Amino acid sequence: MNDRRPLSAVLTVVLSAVTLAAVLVTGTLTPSARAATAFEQFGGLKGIEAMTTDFVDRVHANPRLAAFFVDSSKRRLIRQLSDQFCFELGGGCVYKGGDMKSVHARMEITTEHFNALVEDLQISMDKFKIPFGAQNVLLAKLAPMNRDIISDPSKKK
Amino acid sequence: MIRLPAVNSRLTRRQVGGSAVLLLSALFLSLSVPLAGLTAGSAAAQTLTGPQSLTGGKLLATGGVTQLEGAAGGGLTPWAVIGGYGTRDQIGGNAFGTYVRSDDYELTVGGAIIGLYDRVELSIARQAFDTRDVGTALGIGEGFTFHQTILGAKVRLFGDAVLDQDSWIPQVAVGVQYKDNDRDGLLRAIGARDGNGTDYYLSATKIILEHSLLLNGTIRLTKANQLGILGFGGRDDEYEPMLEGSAGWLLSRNLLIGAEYRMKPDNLAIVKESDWFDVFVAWVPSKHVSVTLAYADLGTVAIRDNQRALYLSLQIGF
Repeated sequence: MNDRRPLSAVLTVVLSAVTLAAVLVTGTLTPSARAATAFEQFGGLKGIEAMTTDFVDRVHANPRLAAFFVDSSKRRLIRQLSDQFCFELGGGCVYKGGDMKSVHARMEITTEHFNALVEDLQISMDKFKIPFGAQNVLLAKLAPMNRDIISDPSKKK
Repeated sequence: MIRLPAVNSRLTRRQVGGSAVLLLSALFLSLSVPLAGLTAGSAAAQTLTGPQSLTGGKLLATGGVTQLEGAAGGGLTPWAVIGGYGTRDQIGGNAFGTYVRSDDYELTVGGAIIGLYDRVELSIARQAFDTRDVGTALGIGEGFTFHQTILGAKVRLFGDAVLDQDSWIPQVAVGVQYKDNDRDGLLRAIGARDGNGTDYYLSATKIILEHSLLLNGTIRLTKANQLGILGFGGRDDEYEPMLEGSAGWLLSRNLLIGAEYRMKPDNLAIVKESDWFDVFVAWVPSKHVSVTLAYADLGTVAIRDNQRALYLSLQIGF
């Protein structure tokens, strides 16, 4: 005697609501956003470079992260990160830096540090008005790199 | 020039000299260890490390909000996320208050969660279900209130809903909710077997970040009637599996909208029990506050049908 609403009906309502919301939000914010790729929404390579410059300045100034950047050159970092972000967004760039594991090997990076860096990246992307959806496309590509970046205490010598 | 502290004039010159040597040796030793590290020369020499805090490391909104029984999740259903903003090296926690007003009833819930190392979640919640005028109709008195205490524990088994973006593997957790209703006698009178009971659940949560989507599925073994508010068991005393699901869409870093569905058992002979459905908006302005507003269809609750409810929840924490 249970009042069980048909699952298919519920799913239809949920999916319709989500789709409707998606259409409304993307349609009202930026009419051309639906057609533009994430790379375009970042402003292409130029836009990525501008945002990355701001990002690199930001992490150097962040007391939680500054210590990790003492040995690195800002200019080199901006170039490598811009190329990497461009590549991950399908912009066709070639990343010429080291692999994530070797680059971060000498650092004791915790999840907290990794997330603090992501937060700074989000602040920089917000500052350059990159749409939230496009931001998440880049973050989705960067997230799995955590395994090579965050130190695993169980693997410490 | 090093100033030695004032020395008792009774100490001999040799004793002062000895102390100075000890002090300087200690100073040299404390400096030489890191210095040795710097001069070792190889790539494994100096480790770069930054300051660490005890809490607050998770990304915004990734601890979920608090569901009706006190676990981290959506509004109605627990998710596989561990509550609070502590990363795997940290501790987090929050307190919540929820108010639900349906056509004929009122439910208020308050409680707290502690999240340990993104692995274990412990929670406590207290529910007060006010029957209002229905109490009169039932002959138990206007505003008759059922109270229930829920103790919860959840363990994340594997997976990371936020970071595992290159895999279909969700974050999976198992949980338990021990529920103790204070109206044992009355509950038995309406046909329930028990005034207390335990729910067991398994949740799988996945964030598909490139589409700003959050998905959760929960399977729960329960005997609880209306979350336990109307007791446990009835016609039989068997555990039944119930399915619960949430789907959410991140509109911005601070805003999540979504919908949930929760299957319910129907144990009592004298009253029908409906599945629950809601749509919600969760606003997370900072890591310390979140507000959730929902509209829920609760169906039949005790002797009243068509219960539509407004749900408001406030969560504060770290």
